[in-house]
Amino acid sequence: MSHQIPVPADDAPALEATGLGLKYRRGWALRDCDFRLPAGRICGLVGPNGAGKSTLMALAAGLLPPGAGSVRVFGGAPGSPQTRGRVAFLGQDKPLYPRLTVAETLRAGRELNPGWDQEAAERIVRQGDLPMSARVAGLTGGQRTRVALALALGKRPDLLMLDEPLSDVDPVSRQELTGALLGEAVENGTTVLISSHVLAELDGVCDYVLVLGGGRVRLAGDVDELLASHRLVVGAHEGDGPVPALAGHQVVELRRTSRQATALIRPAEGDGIPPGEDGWGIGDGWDVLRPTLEELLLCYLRSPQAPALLTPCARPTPEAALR
Amino acid sequence: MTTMTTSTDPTSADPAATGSGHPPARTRRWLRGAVWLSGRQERTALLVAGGVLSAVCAWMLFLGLQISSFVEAHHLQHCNIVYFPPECNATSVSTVVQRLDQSWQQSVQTTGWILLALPPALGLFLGAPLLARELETGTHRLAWTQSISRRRWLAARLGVPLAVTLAGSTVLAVVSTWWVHVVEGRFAVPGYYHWFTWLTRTTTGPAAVGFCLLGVALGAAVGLLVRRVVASMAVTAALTLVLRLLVDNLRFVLLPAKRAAVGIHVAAAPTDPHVVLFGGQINTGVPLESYNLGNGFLTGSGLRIPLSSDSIDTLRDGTTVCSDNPCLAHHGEIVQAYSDYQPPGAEWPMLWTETGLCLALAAALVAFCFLWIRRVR
Amino acid sequence: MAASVVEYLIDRHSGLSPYLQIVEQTKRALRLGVLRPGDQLPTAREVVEATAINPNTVLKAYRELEREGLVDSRRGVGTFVRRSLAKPGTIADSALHTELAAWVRRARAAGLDREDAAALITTALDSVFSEPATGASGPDVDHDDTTSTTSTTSTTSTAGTADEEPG
Repeated sequence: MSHQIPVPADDAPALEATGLGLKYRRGWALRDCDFRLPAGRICGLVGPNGAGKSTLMALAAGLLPPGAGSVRVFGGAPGSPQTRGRVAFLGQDKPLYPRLTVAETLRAGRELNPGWDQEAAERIVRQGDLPMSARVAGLTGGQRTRVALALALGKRPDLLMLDEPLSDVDPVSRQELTGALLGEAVENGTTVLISSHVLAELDGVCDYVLVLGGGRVRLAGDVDELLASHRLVVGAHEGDGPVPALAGHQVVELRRTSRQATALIRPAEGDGIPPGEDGWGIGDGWDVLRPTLEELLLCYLRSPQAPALLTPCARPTPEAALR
Repeated sequence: MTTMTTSTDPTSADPAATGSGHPPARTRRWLRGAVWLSGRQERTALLVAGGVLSAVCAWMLFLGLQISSFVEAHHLQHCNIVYFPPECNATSVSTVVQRLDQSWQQSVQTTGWILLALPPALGLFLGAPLLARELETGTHRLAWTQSISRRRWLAARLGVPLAVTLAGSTVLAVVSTWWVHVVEGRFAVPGYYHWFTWLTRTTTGPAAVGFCLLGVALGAAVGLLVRRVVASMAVTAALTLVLRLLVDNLRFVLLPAKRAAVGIHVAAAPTDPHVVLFGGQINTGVPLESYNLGNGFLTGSGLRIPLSSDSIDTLRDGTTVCSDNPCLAHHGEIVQAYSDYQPPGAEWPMLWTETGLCLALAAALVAFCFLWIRRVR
Repeated sequence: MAASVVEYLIDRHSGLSPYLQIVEQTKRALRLGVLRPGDQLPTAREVVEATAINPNTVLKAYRELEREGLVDSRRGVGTFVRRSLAKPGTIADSALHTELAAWVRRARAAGLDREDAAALITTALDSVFSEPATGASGPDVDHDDTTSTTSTTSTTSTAGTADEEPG
């Protein structure tokens, strides 16, 4: 078994959006989205309800035509003959044919996908002690999720998009299914885009994040890079005035009690780490901590006014805009 | 935190244990891909439709054989209850004909209604839910994120039920044609007196096939637009009725009518009304069992003056009396009375015309589905 | 192919990154002699399936171990232990362990609780390891296969489990 993630032959990013937008009757669901998801990454898609997460996935799956800009999947248009077989999408509602049995559902996957991996799909189903002859209509929500996931994984996609996949799965199966999912991913070099409300669930699973808010990209990039370019600082501060110690830094979020201030900061310009390394040149009396992924995401979700940040690998290439 | 436990994974050690040994040879080659899925999805509906169809055909055969053996046993082959030819006028024969009518009239009428209802029922229960259920439950997204294109999926989704409908309705057409031939003109059932009455004409021959296919295609197209099963069924029911009436009336217009004409003398109404014989009829020599499309007068210059009915008033010498203003305005110039009609021989050309209309409409609806599917979200 | 002998347990709330946890746990297994040269580390897939952590994390940890010369990655075959970190005397039943256990008992008898004792040890470790090393060698101890933590899969049959085995 190879330990190098086999990246698809062409080195086109798994997903690349430039100026991507979609307008519904009630307004823009997604607007001016620019980002890039390199192949082979496990990317968490995070944002409040109505941030455009499901819309983004539907666009990338070719279920919706973009209203503005473009989105590319391994360099091709979503839903085109070249990309159809490479992308699997598991929607939030996890649609399955209720009258088919589990075995027939897998057969449907086999009939509709030339690269079908029956063994992988059956493995997922069997781990859940699901009888193959059970009718889908009679399954619980969690069991249905398992079958839907088996269908998505059996396709052997290069890009697997999962919209809130494990929301109705019990904790034991959740861990096991995440493991199975990542196991298939490491075996086939699959890029995974997974949306979730449970931020703790993404910690350790994702090496890449994409945060949406109000239909726009708020934060995108490599998790390690993002964590390295942010600091959580805690110190004594009284009153509502500006905090002098934070001058020269971009403050993402600032929370105060009557005596104390807690802030998530990043360098004022660019994305480089300031020369002070760990202390970041913050004055004495302040604790400077590396945030966890959950803390970082929470701060960004809580402060919609903070300017967006994309690490270099998350910025679309100039050529992408011309396509 | 401990690090060490033994790790022997039985699933990874033994690939044979995962039971992927599906014999591919067992898969019937013609039932593959999206066609298999479509067939599996519609299996219940198609089985029910097939069952109903078989039952109806068996019933028609059963009833038809009983009636035709009765007819043969009593030598009633030529006894049409509308015209009652002279050889059937004997009291004994008349009693037998009445017995025939009394025994089976109700069954024949019910069968007629069932035959009439079959194509719309197919539209309602097979056509309308076909795409509407997918769109309502979101399973179209499941299909569209597999490796096949929307259009190939749609081709299978529509193709399977349409092909099965074609096969089933062909059987129905053969049996019902024979059935209509057995019962036509023998029962006091409105709709079964003549070849051109509505029960006869919409359930005979290729028209049955045409209406069945149109029903399914219409239901599918409506479902694609309406996206809700129950609403699609309602809309399909309403549209089926409209389309049926439309096609039914168009068929008489589309086939050129024949015209019969006789010379005639026309005069203005005399001052003494007692000399007028009321309630005569124009006799232009139209063949028996023809479908009358309209009567009227023709002037020497070719002007057509239509009459609202074929009843006329005459004088004792045979002169026809004008009874309305258009006639009075031209009565001096009228030279002929005419009837436009379709002769009995037009039955099959008409059935084919009607079927053609249905198929053209069905094809247009299917084409619409293929165009519209790209815009569906 | 030899079956893998270790399994990683990842604590997401330990504050230590999963990457470091894998590196540390592997090194500990090497130090304790549970992993020996030639042993195969679990495949990335096995680790990921068991722990549900990011596959790139596992690969990064293995690359780090390879960089340190502890393991060899053979493409398409697996990752194998290259050299052991086991030193005589680091095994749990060693004389050092006995001494330390005796010290802990004394500390407990003196009324110290677990945290107090741990703090004392940490302080001692901090002060001693900040001095320059004196080049002392470990005491001579007998090498025993029986470890208190676990057993290996294949050949080792320990006294504690022998009578539980069927047949």
